[in-house]
Amino acid sequence: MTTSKQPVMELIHSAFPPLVAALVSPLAEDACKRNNLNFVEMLQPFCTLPGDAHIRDPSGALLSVRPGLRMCLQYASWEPPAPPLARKWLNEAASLHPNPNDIITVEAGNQTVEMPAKTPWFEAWRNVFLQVQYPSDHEFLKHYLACIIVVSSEDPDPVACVQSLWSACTANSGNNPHQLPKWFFSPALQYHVLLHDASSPTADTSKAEQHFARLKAQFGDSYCTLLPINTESNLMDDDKSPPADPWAQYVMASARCPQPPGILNSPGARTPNALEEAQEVNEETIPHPLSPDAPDSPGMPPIMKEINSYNEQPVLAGVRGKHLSAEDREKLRQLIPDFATRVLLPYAEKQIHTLTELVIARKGLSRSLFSATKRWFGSSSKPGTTASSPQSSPASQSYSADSAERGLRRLGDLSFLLGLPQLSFPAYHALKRDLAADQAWLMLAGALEMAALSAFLLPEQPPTSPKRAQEYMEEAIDTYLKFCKLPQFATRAALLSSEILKSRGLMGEAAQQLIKLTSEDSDLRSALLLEQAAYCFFGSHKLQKLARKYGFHMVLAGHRFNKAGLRPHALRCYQQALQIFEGKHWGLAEDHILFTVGRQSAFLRKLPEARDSFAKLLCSGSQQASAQQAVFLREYLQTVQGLLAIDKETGIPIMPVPIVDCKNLQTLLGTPSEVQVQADVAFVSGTTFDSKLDGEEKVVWEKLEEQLVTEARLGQTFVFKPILQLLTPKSNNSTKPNAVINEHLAVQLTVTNPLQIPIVFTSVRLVWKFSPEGQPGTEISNETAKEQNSVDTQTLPLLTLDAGASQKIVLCVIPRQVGELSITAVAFDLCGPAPVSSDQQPIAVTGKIPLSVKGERLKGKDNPDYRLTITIKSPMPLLQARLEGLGSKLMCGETKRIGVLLRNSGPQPLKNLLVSISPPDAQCLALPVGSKPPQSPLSNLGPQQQGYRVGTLTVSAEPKVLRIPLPGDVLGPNQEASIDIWIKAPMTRGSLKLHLMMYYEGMENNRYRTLQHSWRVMLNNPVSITAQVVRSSCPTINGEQARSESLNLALQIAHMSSLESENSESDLKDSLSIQQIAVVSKHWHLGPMVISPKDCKLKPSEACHLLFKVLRSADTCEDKKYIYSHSGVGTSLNSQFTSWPTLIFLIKEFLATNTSTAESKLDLTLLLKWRVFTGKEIHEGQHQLSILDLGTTKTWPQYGDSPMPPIPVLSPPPEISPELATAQSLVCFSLQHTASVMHDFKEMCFCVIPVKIHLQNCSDLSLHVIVSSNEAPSGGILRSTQLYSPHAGSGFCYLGPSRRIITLAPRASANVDLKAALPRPGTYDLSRRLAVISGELGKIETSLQTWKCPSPLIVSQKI
Amino acid sequence: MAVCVAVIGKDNAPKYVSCLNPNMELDFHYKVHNALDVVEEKMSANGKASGDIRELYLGLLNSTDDHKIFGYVTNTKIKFVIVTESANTSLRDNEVRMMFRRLHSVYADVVCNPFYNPSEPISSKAFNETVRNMMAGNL
Repeated sequence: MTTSKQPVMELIHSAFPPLVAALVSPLAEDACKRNNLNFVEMLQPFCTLPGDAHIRDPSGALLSVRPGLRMCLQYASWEPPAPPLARKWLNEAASLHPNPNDIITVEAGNQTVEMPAKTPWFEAWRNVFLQVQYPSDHEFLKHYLACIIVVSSEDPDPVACVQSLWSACTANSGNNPHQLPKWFFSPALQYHVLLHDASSPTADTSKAEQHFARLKAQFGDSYCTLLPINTESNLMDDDKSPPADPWAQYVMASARCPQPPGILNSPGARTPNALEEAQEVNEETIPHPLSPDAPDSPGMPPIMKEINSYNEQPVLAGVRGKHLSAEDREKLRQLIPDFATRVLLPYAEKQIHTLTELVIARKGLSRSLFSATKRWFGSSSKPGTTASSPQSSPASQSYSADSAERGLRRLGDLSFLLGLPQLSFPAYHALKRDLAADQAWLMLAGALEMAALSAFLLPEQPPTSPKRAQEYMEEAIDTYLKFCKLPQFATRAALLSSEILKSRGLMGEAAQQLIKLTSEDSDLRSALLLEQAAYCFFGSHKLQKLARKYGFHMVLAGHRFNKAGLRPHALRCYQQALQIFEGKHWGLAEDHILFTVGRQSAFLRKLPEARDSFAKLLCSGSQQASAQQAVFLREYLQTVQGLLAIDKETGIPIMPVPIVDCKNLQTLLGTPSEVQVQADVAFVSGTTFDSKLDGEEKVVWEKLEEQLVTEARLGQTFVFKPILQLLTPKSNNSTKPNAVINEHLAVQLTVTNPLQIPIVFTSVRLVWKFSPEGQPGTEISNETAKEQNSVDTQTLPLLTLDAGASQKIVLCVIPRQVGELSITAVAFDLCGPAPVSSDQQPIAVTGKIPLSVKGERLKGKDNPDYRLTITIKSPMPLLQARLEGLGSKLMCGETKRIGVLLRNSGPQPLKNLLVSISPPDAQCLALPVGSKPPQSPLSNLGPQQQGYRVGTLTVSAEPKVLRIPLPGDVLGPNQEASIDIWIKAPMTRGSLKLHLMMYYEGMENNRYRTLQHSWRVMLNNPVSITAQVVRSSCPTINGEQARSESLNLALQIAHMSSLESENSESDLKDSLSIQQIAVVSKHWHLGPMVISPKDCKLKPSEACHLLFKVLRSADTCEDKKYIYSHSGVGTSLNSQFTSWPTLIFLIKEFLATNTSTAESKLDLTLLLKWRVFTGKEIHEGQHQLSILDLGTTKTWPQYGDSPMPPIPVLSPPPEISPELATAQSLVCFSLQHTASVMHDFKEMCFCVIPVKIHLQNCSDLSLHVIVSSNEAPSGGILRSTQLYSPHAGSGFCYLGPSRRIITLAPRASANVDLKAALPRPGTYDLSRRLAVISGELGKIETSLQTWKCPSPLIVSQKI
Repeated sequence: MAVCVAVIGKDNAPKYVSCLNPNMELDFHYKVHNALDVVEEKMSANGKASGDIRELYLGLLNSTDDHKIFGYVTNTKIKFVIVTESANTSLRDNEVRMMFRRLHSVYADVVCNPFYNPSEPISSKAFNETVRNMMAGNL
């Protein structure tokens, strides 16, 4: 807002134009009216003085009058507007253009601020303010320099008319010094115009000439002129009006706004009305009842009337000046300049000379005497001075009209008005010096003000430094304010001064001066000045704009504008200030501004703006107190309500609260009921929002589904893509999900209340768009229309969000038609805060929050996310299941029966029901309730003998996926079926989740659905098993059976205490009983139990050992058939039936775990069936252990890492290669002999004992076996130093052939008879001198068999 | 003594504003914010003038009929603003300086708190207590 000097000079000049009064006779006025103009208007465009006008100063130098000086002509009868009217004018001027069109953007620091490029309202106000200035007595600036008296040639006696006009004008002024008009000179300079209306029917040129001659005779040649008008004879049509309408700009403005036309444009331009002689209408004068003028000013009623009539007048504007011919116009153009150059300027020159002389003459006197006297008798002389103006404060001094001071002032003012600052400055300067001594404050202030202005107007040869001039001005303002209490003059001074300062670049000082003038008494003035000050601050520094000061003063200005009733300006100021404060964390201030902007916008019915402001308040996380926020909310809702009342077409408005987390929105295709895991019963209806379908869980479900689909579509080629029931931010939402008609669609949202007050929502619902299938282009929405047939919308009746609370809400729709549904928003009725007082109505406004989901950005473009766009498809069956007997506590390996009630609640029959379970080591089986189990895989079960039974187990590949047999293979709509499902718990201890997935199809191909259920279980392992199988060295148990190969199975079974309740009392009540032991193998079957405990109940931490004989079966098994043998244990010795599920589980697991190949020596799978009694319930289960190697110990469960190998003390035994180890264990043997012998050595020195060696071929090869007796004793080296040997003796020898070679068929056995000769009584190990060497038949390689079979013999002396 | 004490961060966002009369809070917010212009002006002037010894105390920023606003800037561009009543003529410049120094040391304590995030508003009890004392006049 920098201004150069030139416009400021213009401003100063236009603030103080030379005034000329006009007195027009009614007839003359009528003549003018024919042109749609009055006399003053008619002359307005032609008031500029010619450029070459000049004047001589007292010293005789020629000074040219300011070029372009405009006289200001106005009716003498006009008076300034009455105070209320003046205020109205000011208000109207200021309320112009509240919303400027040209906005400039200014950068300040790191922000840009938008502000109006111009402030026309301020300039308009300033002009009006300067116009309505009261012509005070202390200055002559507003006094008329001259009076133009206009009479018509129609007047019967122009001279008399002139005189009567004049006398009427000056009638009252004699006794009242405040009577208007005021004249600059006394007597007033008069100029007489005889108006000759040529168009008048009674026009008579010769008569006019006569009248003119009389006038000239009366008043002198130069003071009279004849003005013929309306000489245009051929009246032009309206459309051919003369191209130039010089009055347009003066008169049009008055038609546009109800103001007197002199105000809008520069004051010098045209002020024909009485504004120029404006009375001092400042507000201070109004309330004074004792003031003689203000309340009952005699001129007031006519003022009002005249203004009103004036205001109405331009309405009937036709073509202006249509009776004025070119000559007329030329005459009009010449009138004022002629008057000025011929009459006014010479007169003024004379006056200047006179006044100068007068001043010089009286100065000495007044300096020396008067002022001294006044100083001495200042107070007493006051009553005697001429009547003071009503405003003059006691401190002001008055001077008589002809005093030197007034003369000086008159001199200054006259030369100032004529644009001669070089004359006016010395006058004002001298005056200032005088008045300062006299303490005539008002006149002093005026002199100072004018001196400063004059100094400014002399840029070429400044009479004083600009700084000095500024000091003058400040002093003037201060004096006006402090001593004279005339803020309107101070304001005038400040307005001009601030412009001067601005033109000099002193923005800060200009702002200070403007701010100084803000006061409590005039809100409008304060507001305008504050706003200007704000602009000053903003433009004050080139580099660093004082943006904050700008903002602050804008807020202040807005406040004052509001108080002054100019809401548009107030709103604009606050909006400008908001740019400074917004987003700067100055929350309190920002909220205040936003709130005010909202309020002001609401008052101005700018409801969208108001709504935006209030919305910002609500969602900005403002930290205001809750009461304040309640107000915000209420205001917001009222605004929105108002907005809705106006505009019903916009749909549901978008609300700032609550905050909806669209990112984590979930859509569920199905009924969002909760899974009720009450005790053991669970209703399964599918996926829920709580199903965490991410990460591992998702993988598990997808794997299950893939298994199921693969099984269901065996043989078909297809690309598996899991169907999604729950669409989460993490699921793959790149294709549109399919939902089924007439089924629920639920959306789960997290809503957050950012406010510190609770908010209540009613009828929360989803807003959707639906396009039915087959009708592209048609789109139905429930946003506008209430009831729709295609989709049912379910409504949440009430939702209360506490302060700052977040809540998850679930909203449902049910599509009733096939097509595509997209959910666009969530709508609700937002209820306002509880009314503070009873007269406030509770308020509720319907609003919505749009929902939008965005997929992840991949490769620069957004992936589509169809969480809210759902394809609705034809009906499908809908399976529901009720599970009974689900336990949350299971034992590892437990087999549990679960009752399942299946129900098809869909409209279509259901088929192809498959089930799969995860984790993979869990198994399940299904049987319809009441139906017979299918054929048991166990066949040929032999009779029970010695506690065991042997049978054949057919192992066929069991699918991983279970097909649930349905009656009739179909479950019709609303049919139910009961099914038993056995589940075998996984073998891992701890807490884990079981996942069960059911697959089913409707009648349509390629569409399927799944039903999922998962539940968390706590798994305890009740059993630990250690098993070892070794070769039996003792084939003979009971006679003939011993012929076959046999193994010993040693089992250690321990009851492990449960995880969570170690040693608790209830735990002690638990007991584990072993029900059954079974063995599955190709070659081996279980033999009798060697040790048969009576009772095999184990308390926690107890253990028992069992030993079984395992015999080799003579028969060989077919492919996929295995020998199954089982044996009861303890009290359950006789429960010899193996149940169907047990067998199936066995087979399934057998298949899963049996990786044994032909090379393994042993393919033996051990099954342990157990039963645990806890205090309340019985858990049954089974464990399986496959034993692959002879001799190694197999343990279950296996704990963590393998135990540390023992630290070798001796050097480790040499590594034996597996081949060698196999070759060394081809044959096992045992010795048969009597255990003890009584022999009389005296009778015979040797005791000869028959020994039978039983050789058993353990391989599938034909072998040749060399039995070598009388080998050097191997192992157990006898230490002769010891008296007693702990080892059995080896001091014997075999008799007969010492080396025999026998051929053994595969798995065959043979006996070799030997005789041992024992020399003396003692204990002998008969195997010590035996070595068995064997090799494959036909091969040379043989190896010494490592089989050890200590066979003690006690020989004692027969007594 | 002081009627309002404010701490403003280096991004010119308020970190702490406390005033004696809670009803005038908005008023003080505006005034303190307004004074930041002068702070910036003085800072840029200071930076040009002498780089070696930086006077942290900025002196009087603004003076209105009611209040006097004093400023202080730490080396990390944290601004302290103290508003006093203009009517209180007994307050000397030195005392204001002391108040600022005290404020600075308490602020340093706050920042030393490992749990304090420097971008957050100050909510320290000890700081609050000191400021209250300052405003009550018992330094």
